[in-house]
Amino acid sequence: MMNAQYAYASEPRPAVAATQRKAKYRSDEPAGNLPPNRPVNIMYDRRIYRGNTYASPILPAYTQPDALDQQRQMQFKRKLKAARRAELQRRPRTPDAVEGRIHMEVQTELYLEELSDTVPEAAVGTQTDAFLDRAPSPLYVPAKLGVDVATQIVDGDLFDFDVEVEPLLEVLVGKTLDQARAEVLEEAELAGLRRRQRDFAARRQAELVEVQRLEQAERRRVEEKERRKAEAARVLAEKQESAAKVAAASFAAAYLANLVPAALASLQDDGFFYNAREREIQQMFLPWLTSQVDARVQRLDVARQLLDGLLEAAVKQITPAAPAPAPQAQAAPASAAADTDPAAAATSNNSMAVDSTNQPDQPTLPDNGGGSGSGAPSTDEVSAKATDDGDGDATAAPESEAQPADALNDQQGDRQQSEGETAAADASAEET
Amino acid sequence: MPVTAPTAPLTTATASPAGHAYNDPTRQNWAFGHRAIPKLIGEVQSSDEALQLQALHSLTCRLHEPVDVQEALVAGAVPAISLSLSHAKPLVRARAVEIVVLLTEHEQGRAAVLGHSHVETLIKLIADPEEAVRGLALQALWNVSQRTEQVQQIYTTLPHIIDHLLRAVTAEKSRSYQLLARVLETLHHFLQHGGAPVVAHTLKLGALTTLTKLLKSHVGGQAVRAAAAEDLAAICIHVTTLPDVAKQAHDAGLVPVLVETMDDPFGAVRAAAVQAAMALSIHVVSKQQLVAEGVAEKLVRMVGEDQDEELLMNALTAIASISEDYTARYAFQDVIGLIEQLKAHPNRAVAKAAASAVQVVQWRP
Repeated sequence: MMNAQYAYASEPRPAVAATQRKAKYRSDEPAGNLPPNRPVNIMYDRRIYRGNTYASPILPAYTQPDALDQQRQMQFKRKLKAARRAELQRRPRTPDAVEGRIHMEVQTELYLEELSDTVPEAAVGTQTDAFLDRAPSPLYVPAKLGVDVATQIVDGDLFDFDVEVEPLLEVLVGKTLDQARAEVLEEAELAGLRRRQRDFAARRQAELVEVQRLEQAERRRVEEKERRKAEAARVLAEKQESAAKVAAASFAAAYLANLVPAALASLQDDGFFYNAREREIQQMFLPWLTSQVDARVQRLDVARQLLDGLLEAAVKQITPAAPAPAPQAQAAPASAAADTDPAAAATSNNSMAVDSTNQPDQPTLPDNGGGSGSGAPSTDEVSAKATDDGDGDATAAPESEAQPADALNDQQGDRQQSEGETAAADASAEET
Repeated sequence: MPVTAPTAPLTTATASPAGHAYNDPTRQNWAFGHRAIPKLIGEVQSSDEALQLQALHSLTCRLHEPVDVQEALVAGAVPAISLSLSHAKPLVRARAVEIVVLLTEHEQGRAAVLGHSHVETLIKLIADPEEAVRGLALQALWNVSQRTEQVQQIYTTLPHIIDHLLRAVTAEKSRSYQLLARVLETLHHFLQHGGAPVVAHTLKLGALTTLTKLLKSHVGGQAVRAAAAEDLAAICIHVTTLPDVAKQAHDAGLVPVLVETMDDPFGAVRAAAVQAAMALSIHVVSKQQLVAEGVAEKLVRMVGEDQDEELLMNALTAIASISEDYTARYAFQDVIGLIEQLKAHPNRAVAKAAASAVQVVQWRP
């Protein structure tokens, strides 16, 4: 026999009759006063299956359907079907649709409605208050009857200021304290804000000063660098200028060292530096002298030729059988003189005298050695020179005066001849 | 929320002030609830002076709550108090200005006051014969000049505010030191946020000389001296952009006064004096003057003894600036170890200033 007590997780309870189900409202009576629940014999409970549970359940006869009832039901169903069929046949049906078309069910009502088999459903949850109690019944106060004659005032009926004012005072004091606290908090908050602003301003000021210091230092550095760069550039420019000057001076000195002698030499070669007396003698006197000599020689030659002619004529007269001299030998000097200066020969043969008034400018010898040799030597000087020469040819001066053109022509012919000889000599020199 | 236009004055039954239903400001909460602020604003424009005064007084009690301030701005409080600001009675003016002060403690209130051109009236109230009105007007101006945009907006439209403030400095010297400090603090806002134009304007009016004399005369308490030194610092910060600063500082003898002020017993004053010296030392000539006046010794003592973080930061920054002069560098060589220790200060600004100072002091060409 088991003496140990068994503990149920859920203790079994007897089934309660339907008549003893829970009431709708909770009763105010205590739980001890409620009638106990009477158990019900479970064998009489329709919910419980009776019989063996190890074999397949065999339904009792009364549970099986009656054959007669089944037959009757089937007949009834057949009748319903037949009636339905007859109904369909009796009622005119809509003809079938034309080929290519189908019938559609369309609502022709004024207000269309959705045709649906599903019924709109909505699920709503509701829950009653678990602790919903029955509302108390109102107190029944019967109507006042009769006439009052006196009023009885009990304690507490009259207005008590001290009592009534207490909540008001509480509110007033509370709100006042609340407002004062709010003001104090506001002031503290503002003070904190200002302190933060002040600290921020101080930090900002310090950072600004630091930035300015760095900016100014950088500016000073940049300015100093620019100054030094400018100074270095200036020094470099000065050095370069000095070097250029030195180079230019040395180059100029080197260049000019030979410039003056070269220039002087060039000028001298070009004939800008000349001795005036020498130039005059060379250009005026010597040509004149040469021309005079030439003229004199020609005159002498002419005179000799005349003398020869005379002698020849005389000889011919004396000796008619003497052969005549070769005309070529005689004519050669004359032809040579004529070839070289045919104009001079013609003029000398034709005329010996020229009007002195028509004489061009004659080269004159200067009075002193330093004078410029302009003009031809004077006639007195030529005559003096002629007498000095011993020729005694007083007519030399007039003849010379009368033949300035011949002299110039002779001079030109001599120059041309000399130039031709010089050119020939140069050509031969170059060939060698 | 936009500020609506004021409604028409409410017609209220006349009643004596003693028996007025609105004498008790706390009753309005109960009487009107959420309608209190609009009703009070409406009553501010009433023809009844007692009612007007009471409404102003009630508003001053209510506008400590930011929600009420917002509600008041929406209901049109700013335009409603226009007439009260110019009232003949000083008490009405004082309450009206106090309402402006309470409104301007919030950004939306400041914007509303600036947008409605109450600043011009406040400027006139700086010279009010009533001290309370002057003080509150200065406080309101201080409130609306906390940001650069606001100061520039005020100075652009009303540049003569600087003239009034400087006149108030001279006037309050003989009246109230408390208001003198407030004037200087308000002037500091304009100098700080107004930039070079405002500083140039003050220089033209001789502000630097006035402030130097004020600082030198030791007039007022520490608040006045600290405010004056801060104003001088705000002017001297423009020594590189405005050539008149250095010139007027030299003419007014500012450098010796600053060096002397560094021995003030109050830390706030010393900090402000060092700040001014720090700003002025950017200029090379002023730097040499400071060194000649012996500022190095003062700074060495501050770095070694003072614990105020703002003072230390300013002193270290001043050391970094002054050490660009070679004679000052020699003077700071003795405290280089102490400055090295300050590089590990928990305040980042102090540590950074110490690092800069060490770098400059140890620099060699």
